[in-house]
Amino acid sequence: MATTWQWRGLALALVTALIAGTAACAREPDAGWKPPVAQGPGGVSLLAAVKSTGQKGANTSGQQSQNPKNTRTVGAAIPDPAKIGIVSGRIRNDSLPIQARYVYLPGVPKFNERVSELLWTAIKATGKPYAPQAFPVGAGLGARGCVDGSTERTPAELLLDKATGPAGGSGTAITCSLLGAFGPYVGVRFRTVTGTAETPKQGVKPADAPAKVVADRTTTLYANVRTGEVSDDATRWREEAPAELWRDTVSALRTRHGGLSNAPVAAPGKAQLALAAAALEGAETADDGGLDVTFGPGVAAPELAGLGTDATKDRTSVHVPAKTAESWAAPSEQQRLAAADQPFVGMPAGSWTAPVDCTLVPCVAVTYDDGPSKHTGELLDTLKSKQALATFFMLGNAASGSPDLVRRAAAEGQELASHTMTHPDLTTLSLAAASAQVKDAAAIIGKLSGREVTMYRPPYGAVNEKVLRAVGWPAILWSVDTNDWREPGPDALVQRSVPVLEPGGIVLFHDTHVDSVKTAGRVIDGLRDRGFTLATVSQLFDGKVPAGRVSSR
Amino acid sequence: MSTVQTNPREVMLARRRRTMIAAGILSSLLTVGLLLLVLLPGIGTPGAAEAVDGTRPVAIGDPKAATIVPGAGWEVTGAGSDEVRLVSPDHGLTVRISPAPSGKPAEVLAAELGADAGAGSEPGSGADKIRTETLASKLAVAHLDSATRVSAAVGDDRRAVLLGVELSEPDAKQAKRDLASYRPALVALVESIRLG
Repeated sequence: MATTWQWRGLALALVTALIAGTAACAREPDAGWKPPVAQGPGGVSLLAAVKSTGQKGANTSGQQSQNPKNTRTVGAAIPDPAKIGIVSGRIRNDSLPIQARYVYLPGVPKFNERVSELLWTAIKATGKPYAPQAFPVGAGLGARGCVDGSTERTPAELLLDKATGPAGGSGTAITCSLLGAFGPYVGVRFRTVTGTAETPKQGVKPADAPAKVVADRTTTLYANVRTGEVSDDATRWREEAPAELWRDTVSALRTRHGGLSNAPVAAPGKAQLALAAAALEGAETADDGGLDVTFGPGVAAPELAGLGTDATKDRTSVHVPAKTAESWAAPSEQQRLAAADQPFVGMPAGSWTAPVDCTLVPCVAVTYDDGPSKHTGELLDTLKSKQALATFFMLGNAASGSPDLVRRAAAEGQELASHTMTHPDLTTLSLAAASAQVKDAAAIIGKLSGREVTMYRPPYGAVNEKVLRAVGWPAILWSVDTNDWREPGPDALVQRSVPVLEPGGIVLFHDTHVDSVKTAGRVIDGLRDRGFTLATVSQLFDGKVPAGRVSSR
Repeated sequence: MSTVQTNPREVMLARRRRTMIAAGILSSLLTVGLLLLVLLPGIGTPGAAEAVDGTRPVAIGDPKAATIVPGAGWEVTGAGSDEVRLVSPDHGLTVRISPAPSGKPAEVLAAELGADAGAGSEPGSGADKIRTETLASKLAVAHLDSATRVSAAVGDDRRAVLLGVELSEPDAKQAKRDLASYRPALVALVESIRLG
């Protein structure tokens, strides 16, 4: 009995000793531990190295901001820009050559002025005379507005892509990406690339094609659709933010390049500060609410030189934590960051005020006579769904009979004008009667719509100098008559309008004819495919419609 | 005379019993000793490893020449001795720290590397590639870097401590980490050194 007890005791003691001995000799590595990342005092950390080979974001001009790497949206994405009222635009002009994709925000004039300024700056930079240009049917210019992710493409890809680039891949490409719509904010990034891209050899992607880039500029605009204020890259940050970004970046670079010090980095010189400011202008909001910022080549500091590191030859991307980004933000930017998770409040009501500059884009005015009629409501539906504007020459009697249609047309931004009370040949009436026919109808339309009416279209186009003088208003005729009253059929109506219109033209339809109303969508699409922008008659002349007979711009 | 009659079986059992008792006592002593080593690090031998909490300074040298504050989870061996050994929590990096003879960090390091070269441990001293930086702590660091090793001296105009930093295989390889990925941790270590 004693022997068994002793054996058990011995075994227990040996096992205990073995376990204790093992524990004493080694600890298991902590597989969950991660070394800290290189970062500056503000928590700025380096992202993977970005090569600069004249491709994406290369800044060969040395004067303008470089571009970020990838698109991240802030707040809610915008799956259907038209649905929230964003107006899309596109310009192609092969004489410069240039292609531009852009958007306007109705009811936000400051934003639209910035966009127009951006477009005109690029056009004027070519140094060539400019006139809006339309293209033959099938030009494929109907797709408009921003192209998702296009602002992050390589210059070669932008220049070579028929959707964004100039003819032949040489010239200027302007494109935009919608960054998001949230709270009262809409964010849009624009990029302008001027240069020449060579058609890539077989097997080489357009993105990797050789390109000689003359200028490459990115501008991000955030519009507050409630206040109408617009902030851009330059006004988003506090004055001291670029210097802090630079110091943090150099600090992180110092560690990457083998430094062992965490001492504060000396203040940047003027050139380095400009480099940081440019990087901050192109800053992207990251998924975590922080920023991803990309410096162009040339970051240099005594702290790096001491490690034997010259100025950076490639782009340097860093991540800025949300807390630091917030501390760098100007008050307006802080408000925007705070609204990032809120749903978009929507465009201002009645927002059909996006500018139409017919010296910039090829315009045509589509006009409808003799309404309103039982078909006018359907036509207004089509125009609204396609964000298209037309001019309605209404009869006074018809307007009186359908006041709601008059009010609706006006409320939706359509232009209204007089087509007389009863559709007489004005040249057969006394001058007083002719003038009354025009102005009585104008008074009715004006009263119903709340807008002053100051144009008319003489029935049958019949007008003489006496009538012109008696009425004293512009008499709007047409450059293209579809003769739709002869009921030639829908296809003929499209053929009689879409291929034949020239920039500045005015086309005549009647919204009393069902085929004219039914083909409105095809006509609009066909004209846009050729590069046209639909304008009201007033817009065709920038609000200054000349006196006398007017048949085109 | 009377003769004591002894049963051979009882004799054998008694001998075995004594042997068992002795073995039991011996193994119990061994167990207690090992437990003491585990529970009270630093007792008996300077080779005992201790995981630190990231706040407590660890003394370097006997007498103390400097202190260092390793991050949480680092293992420290030989605290208070002339060779303190730090192992990263993932066991991928080992840092050996020892007091150095008096002198500026760059001089101390150059001398150390020269000595190493003299001992044939390095193909060349590389003293001409020594880089010197000023730390946030106001001390200076002189260092010579290679892909797998950093030799450094941290100090002021008169005193310094020497650091030998190297990747520990196979743990570094298993964690897929190179020396660069440990550098921010190394910066934190170096910046935490205080003399005296």
